[in-house]
Amino acid sequence: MHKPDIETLVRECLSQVLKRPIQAGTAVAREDDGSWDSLRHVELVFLLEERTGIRFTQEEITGIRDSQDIVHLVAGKHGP
Amino acid sequence: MVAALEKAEWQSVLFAPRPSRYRLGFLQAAWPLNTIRIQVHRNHPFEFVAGLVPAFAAYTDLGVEFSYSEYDDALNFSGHREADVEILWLDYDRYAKFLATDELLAWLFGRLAHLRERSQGRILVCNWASTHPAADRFNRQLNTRLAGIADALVCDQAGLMSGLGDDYFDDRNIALAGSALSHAACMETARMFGLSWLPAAVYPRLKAIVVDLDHTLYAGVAEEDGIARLRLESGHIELQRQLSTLRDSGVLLAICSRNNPRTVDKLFRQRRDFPLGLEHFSAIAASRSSKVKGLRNIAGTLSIGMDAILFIDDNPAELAEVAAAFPGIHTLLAGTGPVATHEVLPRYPRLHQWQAHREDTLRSADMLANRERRRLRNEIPDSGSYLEALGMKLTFHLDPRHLRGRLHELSVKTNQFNTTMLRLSEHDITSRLADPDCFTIAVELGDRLSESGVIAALFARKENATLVVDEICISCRALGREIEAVILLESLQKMMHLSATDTAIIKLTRGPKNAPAVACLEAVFRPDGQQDSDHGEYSCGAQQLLNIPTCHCVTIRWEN
Repeated sequence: MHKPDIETLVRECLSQVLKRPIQAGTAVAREDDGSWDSLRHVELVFLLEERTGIRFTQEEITGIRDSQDIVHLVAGKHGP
Repeated sequence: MVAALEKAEWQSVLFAPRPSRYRLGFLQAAWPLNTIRIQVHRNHPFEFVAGLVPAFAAYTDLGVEFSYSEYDDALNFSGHREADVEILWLDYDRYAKFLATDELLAWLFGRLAHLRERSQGRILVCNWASTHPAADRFNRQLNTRLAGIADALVCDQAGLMSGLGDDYFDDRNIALAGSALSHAACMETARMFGLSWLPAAVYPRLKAIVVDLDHTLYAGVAEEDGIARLRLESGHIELQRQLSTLRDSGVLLAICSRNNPRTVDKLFRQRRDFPLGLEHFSAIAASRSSKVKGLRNIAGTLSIGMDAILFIDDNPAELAEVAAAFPGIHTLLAGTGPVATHEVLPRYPRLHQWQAHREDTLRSADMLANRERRRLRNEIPDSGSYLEALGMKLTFHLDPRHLRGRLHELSVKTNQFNTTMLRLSEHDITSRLADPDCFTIAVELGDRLSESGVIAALFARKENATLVVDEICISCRALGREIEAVILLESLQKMMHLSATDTAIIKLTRGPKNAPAVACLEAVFRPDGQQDSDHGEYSCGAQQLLNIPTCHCVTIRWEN
């Protein structure tokens, strides 16, 4: 998976879980987004795992702070 | 697009072996939904499940509105709001650290009794899904004892756990969100709530499944491929077995096929490898004419409404045509592959059965006996002689607490002979049974051809010197045997005697389907037809009752 594909996928997942459109190039951070609470975080992880086929560790899940963290995490496990 | 076709497209997502969270997110119902309010009483998060329920529920025409208690181990029910369904979603492992199983059960049932008093809604109690050694015994006790609480039902979460095995738990989320449920467990639970448990809590069970033959019960076309060359694959065998099991549980089966009737007859005589035989079907419509016509005939033969029928066919155009003609009918697109019909049917909405009644096992045999009754009726033109030949017996039960479930079923499922459509809950009926001013009667029917079980329910109460009959329901299976008036008059006489009342008022609400009930009341109480058509009740004096002519070809017995 190439980085632009991963970025698109992450954006789609965030958009579906946070229930709002997210523009390309927009960074989304947990601490700045009131709707990205711990329940949504788990739903996001479930969705990312389903779409990428990756299984994240507990440390990786708790370490995600923003959309870029997810892109790096997926790229690291799923890079070209 | 016709909702039936849109729903057929949804099948590949909703009934997939492992539904996709991503694809589920795109399903938006374009048809109207009946929104129900669901209150969740919990000590661990339900949101992961609730977020996935709407698409499944929408397939059954249900909208869902969840509200949540605090995380409350004590089940205080503080901030309780009126709801159609109450869900108890408890992590029982938390209690097992402090309470023995019997103590936990005693505490839980105390809380359930309290909730029962406060709520009119159905209570769904999720059982203990855990590897804890006490879980099995707890769940068995829960099943047994919950039958004693009206409108309280068990959701078999432990069954989902055993189906998913190790995939049920995911410990990674405990620290983050306080939930040990995996994605798969949340999805399966949501699917059960959306497709099975919630529809079964708020809708009556479907009464009949009508199946197409070619490419539905087997692979191939009987009149093109030849009967011997039709392929019965493992999925078809499984489907036919499932249909047979559903029949045993009270769902009537029927065939609607464009095959020639002789072909259909030959097919079932020749193919002894089919788990289903012609004797399993209560009605058969086989002709070149449209399936709309066939289904109309079947509904007429079975005396049921289209909204109580599931029609299974492999041709989307047939489904669309039928759904356009009968907007209430339920449809399922037959198919093979990962979402094959036999994978879908066990999860299909409104086939889930919370509890079996004796009548469920009698229904199919009773319908078969109807064929014999029709034959007799044709042979014996005189109505009195025909009824005498049937040798009918009616057994009346006064305030029968043990029949609470069946009384509820009659109140919610009958349409043609239902005088007020009160749709009484088990809770309502329990309250009536406990009230000395209320009278509740259940009536069993049998004749020399079959036992029909409890086919009628009457709910009345004493109001000053008057007996008010709030609802009379008679199963459509019992109609046409001229016993409606007998049931009515015998019950009224008994209740007026017991209540020492001299007048009876029979309430009536006209509905789209209850013309047979209206016609019976008119015939009994207004034989000269002098009344206006809009009145909401009939009244009758005790003496007047004795003068109303009725059928004498019925043996009557009272119990209790």
